[in-house]
Amino acid sequence: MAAALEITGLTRRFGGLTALDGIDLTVEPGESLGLIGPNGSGKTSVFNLLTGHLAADAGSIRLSGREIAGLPSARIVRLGVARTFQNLRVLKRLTVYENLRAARHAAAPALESLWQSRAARRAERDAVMALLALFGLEDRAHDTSDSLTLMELRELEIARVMAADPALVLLDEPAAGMTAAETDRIGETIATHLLPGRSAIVIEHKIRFLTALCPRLAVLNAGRKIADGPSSAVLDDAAVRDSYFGSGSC
Amino acid sequence: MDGFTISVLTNIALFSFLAISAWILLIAGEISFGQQAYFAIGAYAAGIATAVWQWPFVAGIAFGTGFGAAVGALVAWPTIRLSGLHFAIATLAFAELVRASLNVFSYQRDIDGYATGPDGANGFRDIRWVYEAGIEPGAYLVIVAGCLAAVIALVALMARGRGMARLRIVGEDPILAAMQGLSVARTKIAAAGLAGGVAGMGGALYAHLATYIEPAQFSVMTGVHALAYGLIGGLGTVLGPILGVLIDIGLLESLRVFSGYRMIVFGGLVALVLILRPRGLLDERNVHRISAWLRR
Repeated sequence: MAAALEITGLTRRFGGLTALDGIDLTVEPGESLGLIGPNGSGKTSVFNLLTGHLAADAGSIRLSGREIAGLPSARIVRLGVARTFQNLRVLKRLTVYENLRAARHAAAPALESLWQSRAARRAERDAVMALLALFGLEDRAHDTSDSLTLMELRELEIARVMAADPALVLLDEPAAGMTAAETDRIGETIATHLLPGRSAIVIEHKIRFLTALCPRLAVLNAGRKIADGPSSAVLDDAAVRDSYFGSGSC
Repeated sequence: MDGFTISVLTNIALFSFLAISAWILLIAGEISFGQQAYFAIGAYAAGIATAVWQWPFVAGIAFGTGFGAAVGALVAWPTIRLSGLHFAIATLAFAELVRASLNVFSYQRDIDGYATGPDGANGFRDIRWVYEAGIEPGAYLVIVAGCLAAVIALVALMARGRGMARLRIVGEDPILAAMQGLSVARTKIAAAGLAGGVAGMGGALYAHLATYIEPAQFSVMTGVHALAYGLIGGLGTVLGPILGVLIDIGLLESLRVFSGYRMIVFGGLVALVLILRPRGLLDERNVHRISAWLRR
């Protein structure tokens, strides 16, 4: 069986800066990989290349054996990839309900732009409302999403990924800016509802949060992968500690 | 109804086509100063169809609509890669190009002993189908209002289905739209085609009311007004641009108190609304509020 995701030799340069320098990463079906590294090490760039938001200068990206490097974002997403954003990306002028529904438009036939049967609309409403209920957001369904708190916005993003029902999930710092209690809550939601049955890459600086979700970690530093393996072994690695925490500190 | 009321209402309805056309593109995240070009294209195409080719009225209106839609989509195909200011300038340039071309476009045939058809800057006279069929202004108002209702119904269907949502997502955040699997270019081209068709239908109806059209009628100021209607009326619902037309044509142009001051009052009003409510009176938030209230 082909790996859910197989990245080989992925390279991206911004002018003179090499953001990613020959990265190899593999995610097996159903596996969650944690991706760590200092700021600017290229973690988000991996996501941007994976989703076609940026083009790779070299290398290959295979999704269940199928090459996706060079495909437009919309195509890649329709092959079963969904992501969240480090800086939260929600449609502020649309309602919470419409934000979730946004994940379902691409898979629907073009004709539904004009005509969606009553039964189809009802089924969709039930599915979206069930998802909102999971996060306790059902009462906010018809509020514009600019009225949500940071925590609710994060949950909305995660719910949106679930609404897309992707095979590969990419989470970019899902616990950034959250209190310890919120971090625990979002971690539990991700572990129970989002990750089962899916492959995932999770970027996060909160190591305890990350290791609870991902048995395996890969470490980037200055655009290169410097470690990849079981979480505990990777975190004990001297080179990793050096790059991440700085030598001699702590 | 007296003749004045009928002519004001007909004007409101005809401008509404243009306003909805510009509004559709605003929803898709693009500012067009050039929707008057599709109004002109629809007017000329429908006029040629009924006056020169002697088609029946309905076929002429359909031709004007379809031609506007086709040109709208065709022009969007290369220009949609531009965004923001660059797209706005491209629409302005295209509209002026259309107007300048119509100034030299001559296509006449002998109909009943008269040379009929567009004759460059001299205009296009004798688009007489409605006049010859003996349709009174009141009856024509019903036809125009019926067509407008059809456009509103189409937008309402799209709002019920996925169409408006697709447009709004692409319009608000194209990167996120792509990350939801939507093709931004294809959605915007569809929006431009729809907008061109709506403007084209308005132009087609206008040509048959006026019986005489000339390139100078389709100036940039017409397009600027069309854009302003959506912006003051609101981007939350298709009724927004119509509200904008009602305010401008219904109040400012038609009430005697404003005579001579229309442009001053309208300009001030646009500035005021854009400062206080950047997305118009019936903006998304208000519309959601009102619809939540109606649901109760």
